[in-house]
Amino acid sequence: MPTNRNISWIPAWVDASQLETFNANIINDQGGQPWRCTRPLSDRWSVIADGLRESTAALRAMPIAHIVETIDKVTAKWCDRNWPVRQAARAAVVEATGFSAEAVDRSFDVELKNYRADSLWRVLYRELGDAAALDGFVADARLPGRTYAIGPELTLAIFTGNVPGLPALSMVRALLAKSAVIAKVASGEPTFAARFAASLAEEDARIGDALLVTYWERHERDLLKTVLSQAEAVIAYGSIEACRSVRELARDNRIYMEHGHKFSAGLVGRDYLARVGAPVIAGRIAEDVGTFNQHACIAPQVYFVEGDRAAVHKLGDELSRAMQAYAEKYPLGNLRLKDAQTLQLQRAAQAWKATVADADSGLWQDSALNWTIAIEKDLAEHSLSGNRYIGLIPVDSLEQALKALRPYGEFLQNLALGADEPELSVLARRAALLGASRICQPGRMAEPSMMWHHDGQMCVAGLLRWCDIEMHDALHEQEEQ
Amino acid sequence: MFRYKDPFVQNLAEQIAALISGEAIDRESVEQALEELALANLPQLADYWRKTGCRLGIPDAAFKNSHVYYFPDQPAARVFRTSGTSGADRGAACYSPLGLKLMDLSIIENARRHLIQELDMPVIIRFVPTVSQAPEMIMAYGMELIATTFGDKSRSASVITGNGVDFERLRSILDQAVSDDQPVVLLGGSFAFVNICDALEKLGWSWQLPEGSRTLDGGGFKGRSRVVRAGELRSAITKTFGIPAGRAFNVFGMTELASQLYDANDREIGPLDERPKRNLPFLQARVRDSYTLAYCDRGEGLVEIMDSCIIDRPHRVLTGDLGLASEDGVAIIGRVERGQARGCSLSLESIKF
Repeated sequence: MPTNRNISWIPAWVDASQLETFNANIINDQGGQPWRCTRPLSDRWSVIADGLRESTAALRAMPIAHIVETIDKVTAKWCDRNWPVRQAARAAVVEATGFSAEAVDRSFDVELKNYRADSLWRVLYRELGDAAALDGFVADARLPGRTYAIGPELTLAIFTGNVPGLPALSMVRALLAKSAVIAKVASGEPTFAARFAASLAEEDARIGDALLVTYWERHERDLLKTVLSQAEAVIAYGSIEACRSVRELARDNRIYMEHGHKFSAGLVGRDYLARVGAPVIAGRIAEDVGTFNQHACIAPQVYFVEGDRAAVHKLGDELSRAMQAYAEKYPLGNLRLKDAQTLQLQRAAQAWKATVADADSGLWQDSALNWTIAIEKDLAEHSLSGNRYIGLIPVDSLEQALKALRPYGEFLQNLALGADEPELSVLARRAALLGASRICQPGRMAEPSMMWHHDGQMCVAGLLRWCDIEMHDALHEQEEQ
Repeated sequence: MFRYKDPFVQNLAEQIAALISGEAIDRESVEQALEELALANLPQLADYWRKTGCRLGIPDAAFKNSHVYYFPDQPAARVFRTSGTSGADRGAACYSPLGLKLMDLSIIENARRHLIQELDMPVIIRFVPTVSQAPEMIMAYGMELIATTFGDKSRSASVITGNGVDFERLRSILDQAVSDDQPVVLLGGSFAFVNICDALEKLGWSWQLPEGSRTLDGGGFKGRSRVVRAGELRSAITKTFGIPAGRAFNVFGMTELASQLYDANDREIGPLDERPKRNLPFLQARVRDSYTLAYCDRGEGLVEIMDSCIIDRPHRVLTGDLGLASEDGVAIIGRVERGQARGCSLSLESIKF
């Protein structure tokens, strides 16, 4: 079956005369036809934005329970590997990213289960206290009075990277805030967002009416400015540089949330290693590194290992078996030519180090470029990551590992702390103060819950503004009755 | 372990010298002997090959921090260092007296065949510092050797001073050459040529240099602020010096190599008009497939250079360049990207302190 080439979703109410359709200038060295994109003509954005704001009004009139249920119903379908829509989406993502079908399926499973009702309700209660506040004024005993949470009239989400399924996350968050969304897809994986939007629209056309998914190139600054001028909230994903370029233009937007590129790592203590055992820990590290092909900001680039040379080499041996086993279950896929070249050169340099220049160094790899393990002296030696290239760094103590991470504090994201109490609490506190926003055990790095404060933020609550009724006798009298 | 004075080493050097000079020497037996020397004096090389899964050239990273030198019983006669444009540790390549002799021979023979050809005592002007100004810079060394070997000594010079290019001196030498109808050979870094052509254009100076004049640029544009198409550079050379594109040669060399590769012909096969480089019995660029590392005859891949003139360390180098293999030879078309992170992971390189 030929892949649907369309990467955009345009609400049904938009008149075709307001749109242009073109071949997206997205280089795809996996071959294939160009992706087709539809977007509003440059002078029509304000009209379209007006329409989206009207759709927001419709969302505001819906109970939050209905929105949660709709997302849940759609997600239940997405969680079925045999659903034809998911299979078509998988094929498109495979083509766009070069990931293997197995790796994409694994990514979908990990990513999409977060949008089931239970998870969404927990997010709302964790961040808002009372989710009903999204539907109108609710009693707030601590105020005392009543409070109402209001989302943006229009949210712009700018996606990046190639974590399959990730664009759903910010679309869902905006919908929970009852906000219409303009989603700008990333060249690295432009296909998923439109398909997700279409699936929501099929369940409830009014939700589909509140979503617009399209694409423009980074250099189209005037277009970005035009869209920014219509949006109340902006959610930007991207590299330091890409985020900065959006941030500079988003000064007048009331809400700006950023998910920049981040650094994640694992730490394994000596006692924990002894208690859990190297083979089990190796399997868990392989899971952390393998999921999303290590393209997610929550994936570890290195694991610090407390122990001597022999202990680290032993873990390297175990990890090589685990990485191979993982690759057999979930192959990496097709590396881009440039990535293969970089990897080959890095492997050669590391092979030289491991055999000639530094006896403490080490290298394990498969011949198919599926995975690489390098023993590195310190973080300064670490340069390559992504596509399942993991550095193991021996340390005398986990304190030493945290010290090494200190200069990168503001970029720290996810830390797997392989340690037991009471050491765990001590290290976790230090890691939190350093800048980490998530701590978990080895093997669970790739599957943060939706409840997690992503990048340390309240990602639904952060989109809201509140209106409180207080100091009003009439209200009190009514509530006292 | 072969000692430096071992007849095996001395004999091998003689064989290589004969190969460079064009004598009918069996190239493969020389390669075999070089490998024998490598495995004897650097036994870990076998481990490296086992790790890489093939007899891969040593990576350019091998020259950083520690460097390999086969002969502890013979102090190095000369050390060349990389410019370290990336800010990383500067690489170093050490030469024994025999190694340096082979290097000299290679530079001279290669220049005779590919650059000087029929010219007799041309004026040779260098846009690189002198050896005394930059004793560890291999390009300064090689170009000075070419100038002193082939040039008209009374008129040849480097026009690079502590303050940059001495344009007045350049002008007076070129004017004199034009009036005497004496061919000129201009040598220098690719980027220096670009800057000098730009500067001369601003000054409004240009020449129609005598018939047979030619240029040789090397180094390319790696680590430079600006990338210039090879064809653009050749046009600038024609415009400034009146030298046709067919006599504007490019050379590929690096601190990690003893020999340099010259253009095989005028065909512009690379994306930035790069020409294929000519392989010689003692010097061969090959391309390894980006995915399998197998040698390939066509297409893009990693450049590996076999330089038989390297006798002090492994003679095959994975240079870190990208090459385009063709029937005429390999065109060097850029550098392999380093230090990156894929997806939403932050590259530490981008925030290294």
